[in-house]
Amino acid sequence: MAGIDPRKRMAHLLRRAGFGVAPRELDRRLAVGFERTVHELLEFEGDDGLAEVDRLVGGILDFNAIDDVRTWWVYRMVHTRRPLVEKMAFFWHGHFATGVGKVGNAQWMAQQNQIFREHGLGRFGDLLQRVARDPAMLSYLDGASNRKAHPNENFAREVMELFTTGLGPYSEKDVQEAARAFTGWQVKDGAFAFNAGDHDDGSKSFLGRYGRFDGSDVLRILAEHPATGQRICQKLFAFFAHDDPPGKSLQPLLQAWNDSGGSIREVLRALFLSEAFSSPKAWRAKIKSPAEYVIGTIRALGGTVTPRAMGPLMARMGQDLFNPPSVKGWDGGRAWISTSSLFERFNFAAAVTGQRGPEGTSHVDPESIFEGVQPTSVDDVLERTVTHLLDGELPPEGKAALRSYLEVPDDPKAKPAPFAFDHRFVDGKLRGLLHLVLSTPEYQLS
Amino acid sequence: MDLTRRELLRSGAAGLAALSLPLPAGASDVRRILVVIQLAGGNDGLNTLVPISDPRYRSLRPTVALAASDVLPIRDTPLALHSSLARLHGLFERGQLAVVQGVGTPAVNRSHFESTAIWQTARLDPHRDPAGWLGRALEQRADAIGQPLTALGIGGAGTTPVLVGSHAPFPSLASLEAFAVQPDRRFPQDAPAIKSAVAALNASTRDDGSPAAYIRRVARTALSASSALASATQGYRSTVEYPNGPFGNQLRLVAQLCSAPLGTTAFHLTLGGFDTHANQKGQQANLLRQLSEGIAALLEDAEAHGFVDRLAVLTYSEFGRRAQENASGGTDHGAGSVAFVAGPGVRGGLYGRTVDLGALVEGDVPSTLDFRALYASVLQNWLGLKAAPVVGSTAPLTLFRNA
Repeated sequence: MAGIDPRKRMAHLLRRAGFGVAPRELDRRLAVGFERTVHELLEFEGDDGLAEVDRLVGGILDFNAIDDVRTWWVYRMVHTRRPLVEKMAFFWHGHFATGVGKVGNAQWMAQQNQIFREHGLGRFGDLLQRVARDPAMLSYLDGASNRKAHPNENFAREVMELFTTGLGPYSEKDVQEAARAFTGWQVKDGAFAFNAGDHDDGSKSFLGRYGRFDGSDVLRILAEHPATGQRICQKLFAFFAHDDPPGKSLQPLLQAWNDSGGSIREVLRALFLSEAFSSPKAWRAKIKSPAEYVIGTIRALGGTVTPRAMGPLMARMGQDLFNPPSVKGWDGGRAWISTSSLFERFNFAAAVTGQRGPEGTSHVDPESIFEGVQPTSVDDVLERTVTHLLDGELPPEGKAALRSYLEVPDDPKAKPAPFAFDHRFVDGKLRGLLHLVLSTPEYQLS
Repeated sequence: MDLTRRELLRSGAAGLAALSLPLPAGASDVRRILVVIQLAGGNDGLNTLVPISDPRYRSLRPTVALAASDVLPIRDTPLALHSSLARLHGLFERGQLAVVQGVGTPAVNRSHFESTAIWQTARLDPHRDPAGWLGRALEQRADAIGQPLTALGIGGAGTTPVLVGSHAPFPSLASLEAFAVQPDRRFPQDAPAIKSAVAALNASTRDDGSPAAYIRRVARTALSASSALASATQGYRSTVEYPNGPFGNQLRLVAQLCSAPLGTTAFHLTLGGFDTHANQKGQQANLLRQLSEGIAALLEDAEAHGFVDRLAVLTYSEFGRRAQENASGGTDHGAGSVAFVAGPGVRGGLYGRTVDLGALVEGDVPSTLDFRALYASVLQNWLGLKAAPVVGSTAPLTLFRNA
């Protein structure tokens, strides 16, 4: 594709459709090829490699505690062999934003997360039907207390404004009529339950149609509405490609949506294979969310981390998984970057590259990025680090700053010595270099 | 390494000038300061400001009620303050403490999460826009935008909801150290090289509108603010005794920051643990003592450092607690509670309607005073900001002398 060489293009795909590139992964993927990798990301049917962590659920992972659910998810994001599945769970968590603070039930948050995982690449209409019946959502947007005698419009409004068509196609009257259709959708014993006594089964007029609609009908009408396809495709484009208006670039996605009846898998296939996705306009054009920053760094550096420590670190950077700031999810983009969130990123970088992070959070292996080949000079170290972590691209002043850091001795009393890739260098300057690379403006970009 | 450190300081100072951060300048010293303290968990108003002479108080709370010896009477009223609040009681007697009764949200919501969000956004429908009341209000000052030190959340990690603005959240400061580049402690001699490299990586002011240019700009602001914080707070010395523990340390940090000419106008702190469903008496007594002694220490320290006339302290809690005690020696979630406003500029006294234990609403001390009247006064009469865009048409109380 124009302007992007195959290595960069593959790394870009793995950052966007997953959580970044692990040491040695890029060459393996390049041998498979771009289109085949897209296919594998979308269709992967094999072992996801996560049986180990799933076995811990109910044991040392207690899903009555949201910290444990979060730990489980962080582990999955780092170790999965189906990165796009976790990335889509992450996308839908931001789209169907639901917060445990209000829901007050960690089990339900885990159940909802599982819906995003199992149905996140399927047909949007199916996903919408499931989310609307999900106990966490019924609780978060007060659907569970929406009764014929006292309709609660919260879910009815948000399902249109935020989850499907967006503002525009509907009126206040449509909100009220939709709220009537959803009456009686409740939670019983942690599962969806329809309470006919609380349901208003009268005729409703909704988006120009007329009938005795229930909640399923309203959701079907919304999923099929052209504004929904347009909006979801736009949101996927912005999440995976870039934030600028897509213009004509949206066409292949809309085509796929229409041809497939709203299959997210087909829309993503069209997106990843589109020219716009691999254009210079998309490459490193998005600011990493805290989850992408943290998970991507752990994957890139190898070694071991304590997944339990990562949730709070992301929260400090502004992304508390399972606790979005509002029903609109996270604003993302430039909103990720504030003075304090930047220090959180810098200091995460220091902790994760240090020999031992606070409370044993990490022990990365800085040598792993050299994949067994000994560097022979400071420039060699720099070049290969920048290649692995920054697709080889850093402005000249950035490279100069890093080179001068490597050249300043870490002990001013020591005699000048020729470069040696020894334990002292690896444990001192190399860790310092990684700390700095992870703190560059460029590394904050996906 | 000396040279590097000098260079670092020099580049820090240049950065400050370029950003016109409010470093030593007469103007910043006239700014009023508001310290907001959240009593998280729902403070029991009925055992804070106690209707001590009402026999129904005792019958509603056979075990949780305070004895006459556990309270400090408020002259000419049937009310008394919890004896842990001795220092605040002293302020009250000197006319420097406003005690606001029956304050709460108009529509009672007994969820911690919901009610806290309503208080923090000053919006009854708080989930659509997370911007906090104080963050939004401070952005009325053109110079607050892009000036991260205008307002600081103390002690927390992540964002401080009250201080989230429409543009960006004001920073949260767990400690001075956390708001700074922290190199690997094992290699102290390498630290200057790390710090100057971080500065150099963000030095380019070339702005092509790219996200990288934006990040560099925020990073320069962050690094300048960090070095401003570090150098301006170095001279702080204090003999004032703060309560032991994190809350006292956070208040000391507030005093340290206020004593430096950083132009910080607002602080937010949280004292948690007020959700006293069981064994309330000891727990609440301990928390109220920390609160009272902490506020008094801050005011004393402010006096010693010459900023006490610019200082006001506001406390809030998401709701009060049920009038009737439960079976565990505690109380459950209620409605109206008590808020304090303290400082020499405060028009001391009782505000709001005194609770009538014969007229409880669903067993609760009702919320008879809209919390936004508190905010309106603080914004308008203390900080000199427009209240209406933040709290709507709620009429302000008159909590300050020179309103």
